Amino acid sequence: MYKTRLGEFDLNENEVLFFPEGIPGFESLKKFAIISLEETRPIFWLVSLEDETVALPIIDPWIVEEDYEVELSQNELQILKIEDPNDLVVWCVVTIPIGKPEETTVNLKAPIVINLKNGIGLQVILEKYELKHPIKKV
Amino acid sequence: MLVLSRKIGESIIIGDNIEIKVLKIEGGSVKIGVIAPPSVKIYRQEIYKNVAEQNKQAITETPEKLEITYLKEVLKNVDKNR
Repeated sequence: MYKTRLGEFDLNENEVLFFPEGIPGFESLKKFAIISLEETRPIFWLVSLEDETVALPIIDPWIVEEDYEVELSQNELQILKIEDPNDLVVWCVVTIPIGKPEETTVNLKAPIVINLKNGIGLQVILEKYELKHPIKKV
Repeated sequence: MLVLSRKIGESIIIGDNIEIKVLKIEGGSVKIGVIAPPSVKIYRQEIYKNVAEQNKQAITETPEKLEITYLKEVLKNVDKNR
């Protein structure tokens, strides 16, 4: 049983994700899980299993940006131990300002990339894209 | 902090396998080349910091209790994009 910001969850071994480098700002947190809540879809949640105050709303970036592209470096592929590109999933962090949901932004610059085969995750930083991409059409 | 002076085309070596070379100096900016093993992560300092800030903001700004009304409005906007 894991205590998280979103409540307590019973997770299988293979649902526990390992981020060997943590994520920027939370380098010491290595264990995460992705929680799907029916009522918040298509926003999902990346929750820390080590710090119950940490939960990041995440979204499939292709919903926001149809032509989105993620290019991983040799080193990033090594960390993720990617054998088959089909094992990769990509999420982007959503920032929902309190009281101003219309100003919600998606961080397309630093996607969260996960290898589904082994549960290894990494937040990478791309050359392209914005840190605060507006979620609604301007 | 080590302070030293280098001319265009000159390098410094850090450890055994990281080389930083001054390629061009123009106006107030310096173009540098970095040769390092793939396991060494190199970021522009402010970009890594900005990502960390953005992560923190995403966590703290998200409504404490899932205020579904907020999210619903967000989702409405997402739907418009489709």
